[in-house]
Amino acid sequence: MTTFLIAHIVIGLIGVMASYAVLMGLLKKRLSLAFLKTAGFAAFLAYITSWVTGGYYYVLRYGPVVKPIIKDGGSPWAHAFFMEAKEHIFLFMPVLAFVLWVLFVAAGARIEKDARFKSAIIALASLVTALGIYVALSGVVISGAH
Amino acid sequence: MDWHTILIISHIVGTVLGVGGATFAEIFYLKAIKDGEIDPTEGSFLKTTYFILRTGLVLLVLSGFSMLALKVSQGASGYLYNPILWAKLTITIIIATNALLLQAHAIPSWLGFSLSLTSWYAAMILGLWRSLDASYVAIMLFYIVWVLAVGFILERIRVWYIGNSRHTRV
Amino acid sequence: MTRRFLNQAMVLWGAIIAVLWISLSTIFGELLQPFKDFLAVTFTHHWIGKSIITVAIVFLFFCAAWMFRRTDMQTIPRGLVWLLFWVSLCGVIAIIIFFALHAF
Repeated sequence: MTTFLIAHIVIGLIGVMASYAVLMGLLKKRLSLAFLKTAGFAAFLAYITSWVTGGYYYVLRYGPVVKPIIKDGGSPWAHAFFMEAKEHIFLFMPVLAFVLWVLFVAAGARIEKDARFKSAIIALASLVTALGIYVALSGVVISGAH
Repeated sequence: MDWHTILIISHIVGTVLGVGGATFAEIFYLKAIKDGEIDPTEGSFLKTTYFILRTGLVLLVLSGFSMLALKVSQGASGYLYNPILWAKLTITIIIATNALLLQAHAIPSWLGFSLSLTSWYAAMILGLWRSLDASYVAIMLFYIVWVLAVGFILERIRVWYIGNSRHTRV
Repeated sequence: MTRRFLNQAMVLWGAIIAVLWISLSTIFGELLQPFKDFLAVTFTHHWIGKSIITVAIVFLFFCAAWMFRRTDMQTIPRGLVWLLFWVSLCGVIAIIIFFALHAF
């Protein structure tokens, strides 16, 4: 079961770093579409894997064993706020990462030429990265309460 | 070699690359703008240095979080509420955000370079200073003061170095 | 054979609806116990239910985007990307505020 937790953490983090790389790639003067497509797909794939491994751990271990310990411990808010928010906010990430990847593949040429369209894509990429950082830090808070 | 040792080594290598990269990024940038422009060779050196810096950051973050995951799996999760750990996490996020802002030219260069250099050294010192007993707020306040101080010092060095070289050329 | 391009607008609408589903099901799942129970009974766990329905929405719209491919290169309104951004951001903020009020 610990394997699933570690896989969820490490692969999720790889996803966040891939999202960060997408954002950094979008901010360059000259875009590398090949890089954006690769990093975008890596982020999406990592989030899907983290979703499955995290979900497995959440349902079979966290729910029945860890949650009662946290709720009865000194930091019940670690579950009531951080975990409850995290488990739902995480769901946004694979969806947004998927959209970004599809847009890089289908509308890459437009992102290069249309500065205002590029700004919208940058906003979306920033949101995914920010959510990833928030979710990762929430995970640290929750794990610390156990 | 156990996982803990492998992760410690990776974490140290990441720190070395990051601190060294940030230091030489500043030195190479200063040398490059001495004549008022960055030529292709100078640009190439800077690009390589930034690549090393980013590699260091990736290694640092991956190994750092892996070590936290290892601690949780071994039942030592109390460390995750350590104020020094949270100061390091905050500073790591500042390093990453600062890199984005510098790339987007959305931050004054004196502040961006100061943040980069101070943050890397701060993260290294916090990691090495085992006996430090300070609150998160105290550490961050000290850090902010140092960012401003380093910004001022770097700016004075730049003015002296560039002014000195122009004076010498004349 | 004329080249056909993925219907990008369909993909974006699928994402917007998925994100709305996540936000609303999260909040109403906590406010309406029968809804949460329905998800738990149907999918063995309410969170699994929300996840599966999210995937289903995105997948269905992607299939529609493939079936209704366009023959032109398309210029989807950038407003649609911004709509996805704002719906997502508002959804995240709503979830954070909701659980903050719930927990503290």
